[in-house]
Amino acid sequence: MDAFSQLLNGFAVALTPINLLWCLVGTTLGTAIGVLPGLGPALTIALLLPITFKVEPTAAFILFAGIYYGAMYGGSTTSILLNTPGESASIITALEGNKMARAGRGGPALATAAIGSFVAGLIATAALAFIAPEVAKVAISFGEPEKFALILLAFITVSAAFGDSPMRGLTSLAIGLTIGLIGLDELSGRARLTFGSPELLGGIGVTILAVALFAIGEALSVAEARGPAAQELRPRASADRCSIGRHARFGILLFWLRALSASRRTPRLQRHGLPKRTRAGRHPRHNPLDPSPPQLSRPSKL
Amino acid sequence: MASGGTSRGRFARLRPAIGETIIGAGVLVLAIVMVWQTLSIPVSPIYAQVGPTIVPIITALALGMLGILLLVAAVQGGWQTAEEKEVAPDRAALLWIIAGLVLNVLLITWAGFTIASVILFVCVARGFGSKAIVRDALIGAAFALVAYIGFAKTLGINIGSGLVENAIERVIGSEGG
Repeated sequence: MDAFSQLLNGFAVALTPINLLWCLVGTTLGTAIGVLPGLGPALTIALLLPITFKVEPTAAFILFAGIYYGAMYGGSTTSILLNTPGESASIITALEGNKMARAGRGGPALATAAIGSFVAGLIATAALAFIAPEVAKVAISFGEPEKFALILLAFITVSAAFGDSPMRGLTSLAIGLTIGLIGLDELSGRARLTFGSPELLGGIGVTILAVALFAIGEALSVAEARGPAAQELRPRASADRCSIGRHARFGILLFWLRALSASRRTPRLQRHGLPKRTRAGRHPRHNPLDPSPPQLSRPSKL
Repeated sequence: MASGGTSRGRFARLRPAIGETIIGAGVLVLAIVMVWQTLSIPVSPIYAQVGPTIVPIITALALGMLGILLLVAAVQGGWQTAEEKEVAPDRAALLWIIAGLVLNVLLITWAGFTIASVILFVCVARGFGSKAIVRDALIGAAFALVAYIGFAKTLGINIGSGLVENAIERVIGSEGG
């Protein structure tokens, strides 16, 4: 009951007009910066940090929350429409959403992204407020065997992105691991694959990879096949169902995965794998050269 | 690259595909470079069993195996579908974009963000078929300056100042002072 009254108190503070206004400012700014490819939520918050110096602490937190969610949503917009995700979280959105946009269903794809993140975010945040202490106990009991199992699961879910060629899928996975190995070894502190360059000691960030693989890759691919790409954009009549039930299921699963895993990189891949299972066969995947596996190997830098 | 696309059928399948061969060879070379780099990591005897080299070696072996498999597949005709082979890639467009990227990387350190971005913008626009270089340069300059001033002035982040940026700073500075 204590958590509940505190939550209500929080709502009372948050729902005052001036704080709602700050939230609006935050989401607007966050979306504006978040749509730029290469700028994810964490980077957006870091960029907009100076703005919050002039604001009182409560409003600053609300502003930050708005910026965070705005940037998350902004990332999905470019992912869907341009196939250029700005950060690791929206790579998965690009995989699925851009196909919808190409099939002339960009509007429904954007709406699904917005509604989906709203519903799932609401459920996950509410659940976190109530049962976080209990989940924290489970999370603390997570040891090395469990982490190993989780990473193994992530590796297996990567196979969902292989498409029709396991060999090329495994190759991109191996190249991704190679890129992930660049930098200092976390255990021994040895420099690996840096070729003596001090710039490479910190490794290669997810943002750089996402922009390099998706934004530049997409630009090259469109430029190379100018004609056919434009013809792909014909509208289709079939309606899209935005299944609220699926979003809800998803939110609950996401909440568990987020709460349980200490590292942030595994849930995203599992998150990708999970809805695949719940609607098996709806989307035949035919994108064998999808460069998503490299994401796996990179420890989160943001 | 895969110019054998026009003659389809059984005979075309046996012809080695050049593009795919390059990819396979590239993966193989990457594996060899990895082994070389991994073997040059100094390993403390304490980490004799599971040290900093174990994952790179496993990855390098996997890459090597996959490189060989890709090469075999490439020699047997590659993996491009027949329709992909028939579409001739617009190589001039690719070259324009790659030239823009390379110039951007080379110029951004000393010429500054704006000049490098304008050149990248013009090159990419050219790659996508635009012929109006002056118009593209003006649009690119507007975008680049807005981005630069936005980052430098409102957020206090230097994203690469150079000739143009310093000149603008001086103008703004003299007006403000």
